[in-house]
Amino acid sequence: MKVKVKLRLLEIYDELEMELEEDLTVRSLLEKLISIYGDNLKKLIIDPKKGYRAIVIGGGEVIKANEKLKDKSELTLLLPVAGG
Amino acid sequence: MASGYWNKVLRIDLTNKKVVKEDVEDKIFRLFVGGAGFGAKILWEEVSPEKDPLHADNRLIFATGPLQGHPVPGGAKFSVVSKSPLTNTQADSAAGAKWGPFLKKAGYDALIIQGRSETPVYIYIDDDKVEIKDAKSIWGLDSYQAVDQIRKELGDERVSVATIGPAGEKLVRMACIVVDKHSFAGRCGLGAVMGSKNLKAVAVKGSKKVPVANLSLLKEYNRKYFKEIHNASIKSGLRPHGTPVLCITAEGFGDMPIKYWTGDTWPEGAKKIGAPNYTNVLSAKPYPCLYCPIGCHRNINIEEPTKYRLKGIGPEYETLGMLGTNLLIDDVKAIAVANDICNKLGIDTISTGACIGFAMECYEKGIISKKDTGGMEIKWGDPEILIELVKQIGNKEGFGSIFSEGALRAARKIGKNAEELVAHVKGLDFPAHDPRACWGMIPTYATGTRGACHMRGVEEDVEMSGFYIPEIGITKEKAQFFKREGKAFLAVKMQDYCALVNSLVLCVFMPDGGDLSFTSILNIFNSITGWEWDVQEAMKCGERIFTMQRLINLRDGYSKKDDILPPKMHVPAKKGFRAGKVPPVEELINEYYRLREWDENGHPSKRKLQELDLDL
Repeated sequence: MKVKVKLRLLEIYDELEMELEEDLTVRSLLEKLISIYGDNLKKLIIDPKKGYRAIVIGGGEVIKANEKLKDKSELTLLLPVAGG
Repeated sequence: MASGYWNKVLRIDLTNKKVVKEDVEDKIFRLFVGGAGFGAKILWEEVSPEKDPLHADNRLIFATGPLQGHPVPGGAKFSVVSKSPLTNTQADSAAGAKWGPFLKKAGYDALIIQGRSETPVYIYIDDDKVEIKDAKSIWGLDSYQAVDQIRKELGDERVSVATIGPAGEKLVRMACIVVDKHSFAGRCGLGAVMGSKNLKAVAVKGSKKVPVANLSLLKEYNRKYFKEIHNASIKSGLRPHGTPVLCITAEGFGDMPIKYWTGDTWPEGAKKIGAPNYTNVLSAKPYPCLYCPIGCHRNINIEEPTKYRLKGIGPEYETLGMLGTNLLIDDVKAIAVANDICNKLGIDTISTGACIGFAMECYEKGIISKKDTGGMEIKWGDPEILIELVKQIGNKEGFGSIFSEGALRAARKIGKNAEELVAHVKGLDFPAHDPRACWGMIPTYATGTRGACHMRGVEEDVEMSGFYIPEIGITKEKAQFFKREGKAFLAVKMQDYCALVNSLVLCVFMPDGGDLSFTSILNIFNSITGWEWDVQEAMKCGERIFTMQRLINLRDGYSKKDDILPPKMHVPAKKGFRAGKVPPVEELINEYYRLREWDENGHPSKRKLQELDLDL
C-alpha cells in the first residue's frame, strides 16, 4: 500500500510517499521513519520515559500507535509542544 | 501577619496626591490569594457599574501573590487589574520581568491607584519611600525610552519600570503596560486606564525579606523544581525556541489564525515564521524574566535588510499568529519590526493584529475602500501595510485611528454588517488559537471573564500538547479532539485552575511546558504560607476567584446573551485537520452552565455562592 507522510517536526520538515506492506501499524511506520532519518528524528519523537511523543494525525483524527495504516492515507506527524 | 504576605497595600490617590499604607486582613488573602483574585475583590467593592473605565474613579491595581519576593521558578509575575476600556468587563493582565518581586520586596502586596493627576506623573517606590514625580519630560516618549529615562533620572539601572507608551497616553483602548522593555500586561487596554490617570509609569525597587513559613523547605523545592522545569523546557522546545516553537504544530491542528479566521491551512506560512526558521533567521536567544528556568522571551538581531535592522525583543507565538498567518504575512523580519513598533508605542499585538485582519477582510469585501483608508490598498499579505497600520493605530492617526477604539467599536462605526466579521467575545479579540480546533476552548472563550482568552483556560495545550493535570481529573480522556464529552468539564476545571495560577501569581509556562505538577505548585505555596492547602481547597479558591470575576461582569450588565461565539466560529473548515467538524457551540455552553450551576441568565445559584463563601 501507499501512504503519504508529512513530517512537521521542527528541524525535520519533510514530505514523502512510502510503499509499505499491508497491515502495518503506525508504530512500525515510525520505526521505519527512524531508520530513514536516524537519531535526530528518534530524539524528537521518542521520550525515553514515556515512549512515542509525536502525534500522528490523518483524516481529522489522531491515530494511535497500534492502529493499522490504510492504503492511500495521508498522515502528518506533529510534536506536542506547548506555549502560546 | 501571614507568611507570604505583608498584609499591606499601598494606595495612591492621584487627584490629591495622597499616599496611604493600608492593612489587609489575613482572611482576604485566604479567600482571594493575591494577584487577579485580590484585584477582583477590590473592583467589586470600589468600582461602581456606571463608571466609565477611563473615569478617574476606576481603580488600577497592581497585585502580587504569595510567590513573589522569593526565587520561585516562574514567580516573577504580577497582575494588573482594572475595569477594561476595551471590554467593559473586569480585566486582569499579567506581566513578568522583575517588577512583581520588587514591589513585594518593597513591603507591599499590592498597589491601588485611583483618581487622576492634573499633569503627567510617575510613581517611584523604594521600600518605605513613595514619591509622585513629575513626568512632563517623559510624557510622549516611547515605552523603551521611558524606561531608560526614568532609570537615568533616578540614577539606578536596576529599578524596575512598568510604563505606557504614546498609545496609553492617547487612550487607545488596546494600549498595554510595558515592563522593563521585555514583558507586557498586554490585553484589555489597561495602558489606557493608566493614561487616563495621567500616570506614565511606576518604578519600583525593594530590599525587604518577605516572611516565609518554612524557608529551608522552600529553598529545597526551588532548587529541585528549577532544574526539573529547565530540563522539561529543553525537551518541549520552549527553552531553545521560545513560544515560536508552537507555530508548525498549531497550524497542523488547525489552531492558528489564517486570514482573520476565514482560512483553514497555511503550512508554508507557519514554517517560515515559526521555529526553527524563526530561531535561525532572527538569531534568537532566550531572555528570561527573574527566577525563570525557561526564558521563553527572545532576544533577536536583524542586520539585513537595513530597513528592518533591529536588535531587541522578538515576537511571541501570539504575535506571529496575529501579525503573521492571520494577515497572510510570512516575512518574519517584517513581523519582528511590527512587533517592535507595537512594543514601543505600547499596544497589544493580539488586538492590533485582529484590527488589521478585520480591515483587510473589509477591504477585500468592498466594505471599505481607498477612500476610507487614505489611499492605502489594504491587501492580505503586505508587510509594508502591516507596519504602516501598526504605526497609525498606536499613534491614533490616519485611517488607523478608527481602531484606537478596538475592532468591535470600529466595526459598529463602519456599519454595513461589518460587526458580523469581528472575531471577539465581549469586545476582546480572539487570540491566536481557534476554538474550532480545540473544543475545550469554546466554553472558555464564551464565558471568559475578560472575553476571548487562551490564557484563562489553556485548553489548547491540554488538547494539542498533552498538558494534563491528573490531580483535578484533566487526563488524556478529557482531551480527545472533536469529542464533545468532557469538554465542558475541561473548561470549568481549567478556568478555575488558571484563576488560581493568575492569583498566585505564577507563570503558566511552569506547569504548561515546564511540567510543574499541581502538587509541586502546592508544595511551594504551602512552604511559603504554611497553610497546608490540598488540591480541593486550592481549586475551591480558584473557582471562587473566577466566580467573583463573573459577578462583577453580571453586576455591570453582562449576561447569558454575551456568552456566545462570533458567526465565524460556527463555520467548519473545508480542508485540514478540522475539515468538516462542526463545533457544538450551544450544546457545550449549555452543559457548561449546568456544571457551573448557573441559571438561564448566567447567574450562579445561591447554593454555589454560599459554598464559595461569596454570599455577597
